[in-house]
Amino acid sequence: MSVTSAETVDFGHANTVWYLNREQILGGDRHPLAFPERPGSHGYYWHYVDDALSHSSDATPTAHELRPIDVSLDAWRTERSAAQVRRVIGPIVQPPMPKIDRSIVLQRWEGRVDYLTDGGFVARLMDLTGTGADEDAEFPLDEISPMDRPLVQEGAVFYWSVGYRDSASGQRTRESVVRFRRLPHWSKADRQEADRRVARWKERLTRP
Amino acid sequence: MSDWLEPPEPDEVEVTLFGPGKGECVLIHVGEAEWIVVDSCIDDTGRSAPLNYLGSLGVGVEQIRLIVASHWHDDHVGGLAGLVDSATAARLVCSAALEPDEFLHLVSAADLRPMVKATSGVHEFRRVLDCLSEREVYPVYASADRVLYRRPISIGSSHCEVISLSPSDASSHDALQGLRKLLEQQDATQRTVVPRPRRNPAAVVLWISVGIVHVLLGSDLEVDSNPAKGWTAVLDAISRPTERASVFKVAHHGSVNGHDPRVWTDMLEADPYCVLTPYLSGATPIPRPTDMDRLVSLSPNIWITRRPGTPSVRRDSRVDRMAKEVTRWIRASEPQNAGVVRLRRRSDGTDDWRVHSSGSAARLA
Repeated sequence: MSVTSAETVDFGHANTVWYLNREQILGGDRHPLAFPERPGSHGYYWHYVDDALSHSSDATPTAHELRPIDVSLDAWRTERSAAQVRRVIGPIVQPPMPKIDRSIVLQRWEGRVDYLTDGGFVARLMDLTGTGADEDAEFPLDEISPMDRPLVQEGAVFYWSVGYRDSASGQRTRESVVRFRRLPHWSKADRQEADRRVARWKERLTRP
Repeated sequence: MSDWLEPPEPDEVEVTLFGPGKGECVLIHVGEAEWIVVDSCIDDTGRSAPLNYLGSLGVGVEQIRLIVASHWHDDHVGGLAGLVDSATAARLVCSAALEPDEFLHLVSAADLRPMVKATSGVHEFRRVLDCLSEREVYPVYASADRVLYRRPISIGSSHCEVISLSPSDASSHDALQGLRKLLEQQDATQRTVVPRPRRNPAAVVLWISVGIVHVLLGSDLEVDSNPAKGWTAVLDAISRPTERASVFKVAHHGSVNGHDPRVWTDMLEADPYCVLTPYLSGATPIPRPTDMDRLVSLSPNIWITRRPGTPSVRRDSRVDRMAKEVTRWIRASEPQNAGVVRLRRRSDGTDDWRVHSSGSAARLA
């Protein structure tokens, strides 16, 4: 179970692998992160490289060569002979999923700015959550992020949602988010299609 | 109640106002089983209010002679395309302000790839234009002093004439400038959708005469400081009808902006029967209490399809609380229970108007 110096390898997914030297495996303290009090706990998992699968004693193991040690390291040692194991690699640190803020949307609308008012705007709102009736509302500009304020003009489209935000620390707050939409510009093909439709109307809507 | 479902007699005039639902609508029986629909309305069952009503009377859609889109405002055009599609014998009348190519280009461009639900009345008009072009029927464009429909007098039947009193040329010119501005916005750096027009300078005011009964439908026309526009242009027009109307669909939801005292002194009989719908979408619903006081002082016969107030939206109380905290105000664009006011009278004027209301409609007092 010789392992050379410590290094890190990215496996192409979120895990990070520490190759640890013998002292560390036996309980050294050169890498505190790698040595929780009880191996296998706290989200740290020991792995080993199956000798039968390993293509080289020194090469960096691939993901399929790794086998998890799902019991404590000591218990595992008693079950395996060194011959079966090329290297013990561990722990692969699987940090607990980071706690992130989570939004709970209670209702969402699509809005159209109909006209501007003193420090705000009046909009027609269409319910995107259920089948609620259209509504009209006046929003103060304070509710709009500074980044979106230049977009506030007649005919602008935005989305508004209200709900809760559960923070990583466990706090719940009310949340209102207004985001203005940047509609894609007309393409040349769009304009040609629009012109063709007008031509069609004009041709068929013949005067009596 | 049985009378409610009886169609009018051939010599009766009927004026029925629906709304506000998704839109509003006036249905007029002009005698001889001929009907005119002004604007459009979807009721709370999701069906066309005028078609639903005509069906309940046993009247076929082929009896509709004219469909008038008095102005391009989404509180008046709900379900217009479906109405036009169903009433194949009817001619569509639009404001002359919508005749220029600019309007066609605006509708075509704005509805090409809508991508959003918030399309204003553009989507409805695109469907109307598609339907008309399929039939190869050109709309009738209404402007000041234009006869839109005429049924000559004959033995046993009354004559009928429908005349548009607006928009004036100056108002149509204004509307054209507005269309050009909207088209420019379509080309601007930030693409937008067509917003709801705030004013309706090109609204179509109608004068309907059946026998000796006259009806004035004020649409959303407002008073303008320029005498060539708005109500002043209507009142000062040389060819304005000299008779007086006994029914008035009050202009612009009874707001002070739509009120010209000369309409009441020069165009209406004393104590006319007046009908109106409220407008609930703005910061302050109209008519305001002062508007209602004014109307009641002008006639004892004022009927409104729904008293103005804040229509409730049924939803999660948490959402309601948050929405009210974020906004200065928020309210439903249209109520769930639209009202109906119906007036009927013989076209020879030998009786008085009989009023029937249902739903949320009420008499102002």
